[in-house]
Amino acid sequence: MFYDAIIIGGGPAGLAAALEASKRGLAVLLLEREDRTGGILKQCIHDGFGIVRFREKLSGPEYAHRFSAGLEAAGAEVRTFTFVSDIQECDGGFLVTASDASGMHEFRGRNIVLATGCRERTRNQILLPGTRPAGVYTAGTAQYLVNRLGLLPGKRVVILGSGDIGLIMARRLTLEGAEVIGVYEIKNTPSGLPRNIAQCLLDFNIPLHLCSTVTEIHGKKRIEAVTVSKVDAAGRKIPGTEERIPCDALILAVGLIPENELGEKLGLRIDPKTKGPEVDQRMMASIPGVFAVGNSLHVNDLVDYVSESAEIAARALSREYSERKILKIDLDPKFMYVVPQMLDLNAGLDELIFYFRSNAIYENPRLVVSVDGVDVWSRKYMILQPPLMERIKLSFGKFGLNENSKISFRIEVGS
Amino acid sequence: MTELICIICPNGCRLTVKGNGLKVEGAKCARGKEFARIEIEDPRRVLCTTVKTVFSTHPYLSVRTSKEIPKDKLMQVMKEIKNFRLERKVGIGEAVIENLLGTGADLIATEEFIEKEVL
Repeated sequence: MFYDAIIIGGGPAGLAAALEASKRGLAVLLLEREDRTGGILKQCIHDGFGIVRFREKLSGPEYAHRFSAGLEAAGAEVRTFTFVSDIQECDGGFLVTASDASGMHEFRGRNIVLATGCRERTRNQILLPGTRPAGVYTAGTAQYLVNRLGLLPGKRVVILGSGDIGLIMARRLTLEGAEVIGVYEIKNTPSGLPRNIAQCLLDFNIPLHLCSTVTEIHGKKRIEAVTVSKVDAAGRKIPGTEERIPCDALILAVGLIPENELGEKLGLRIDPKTKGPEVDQRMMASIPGVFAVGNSLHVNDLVDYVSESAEIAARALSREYSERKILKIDLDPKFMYVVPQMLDLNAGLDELIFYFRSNAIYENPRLVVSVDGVDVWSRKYMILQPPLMERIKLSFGKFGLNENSKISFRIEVGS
Repeated sequence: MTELICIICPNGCRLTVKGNGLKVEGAKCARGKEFARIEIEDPRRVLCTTVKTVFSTHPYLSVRTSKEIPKDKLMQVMKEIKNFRLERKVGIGEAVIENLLGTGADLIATEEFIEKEVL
């Protein structure tokens, strides 16, 4: 069997890619390492998923079900409990090595779609000092314990980081009877969406401490307390502001990193800003026939856009590709990133979707796109800020682009 | 004057509600205006949680209320749900508990049961 596409990962991105590709008549194999598809949505039991796409507030499992329910009927082959360990280029496509309960298997396909999602940052990535007791969890682990296993990770909980998962867990633990002492955020603005500050913290009178972070963990076998300190504008702790807070759990909601070991081993070019592969407008990475979608491409705020990026890739899947003519997009430093990072001039150039984040908060800015020094598109925003991913649709077909053209994105501030 | 953050969509509009006529400012859409009026008079939330089941392959099933319930009843409803144990397999969207504590909302399953044993 030679598949048209082998999709690695059965979370929202992989499900959307598999469904769209199968509906288009392609032979699709979806490989998922857990017991069933759904990815992180399986444990995201809160609602708010699908507002953009379905105009409904679904829970995570319901959103996943919208895609997984019709998958096999559409003709996709789904293998769960299957762990992909290697991808190599082979004659006419790619060779995927994977293992399941029955042993090692090799699968061959024309295209690879990397839908491997992301991993949480742990205390190691934020260099959190102190002892190494039990009771220090990432927010996702705490969420798995509470929502899948029915276990409470602690009764007096400190949460470090104000990203959405941390806020959601503050509410969830409170509902389950734990006391959430506070959410501590090193930056001077919360990382999560304003609506989650409102419905997860304000609703339950959970304090949010900005410009504050955990500076030490105490306890031998089990965590007994944390020291929190105020930080200055550069994120350095301010001596004399230390406060010892007794607790039996510390939950870390300190960010996500796209999981791209497979892509890196394959030799894909990685964007240091997104930590995901560099892609063109079809989500095709630097090796033709390899696509990166969803959170393995860049960390998204909304699952709706995870599915969208996967469907863009699925629609571009083909058995043959013409030679690529790559044009990199030029960014001013006010962007954290823009995805896609490049255009293939031999692929469709109209109605292209771009996702971006600014590198700082800009009030009343204007996003301007220029081609060869001429401004061709602009949009005013009330605010651009790193926690809010923005999405725009642009068409470049009419500009007669060639390899020497220059496309630039810039953010203008002030009049 | 009351200041609110709209929770209807990810925009999270900052709303101000003024006077007895409940004049709403700052909302980008009509749903936001409606949210603000309800939020002042009778704040309501959808509750998402899990219920314990008797099935070893799926010991906790994710559920939510079929519509918003009064915010001040959330903890009481959680207590009720904690004392409940699901003894039959329901499909996604099916009611697990009907008319939850007289709120008029059903508690509905938001996922399918796992049939196979987990390794």
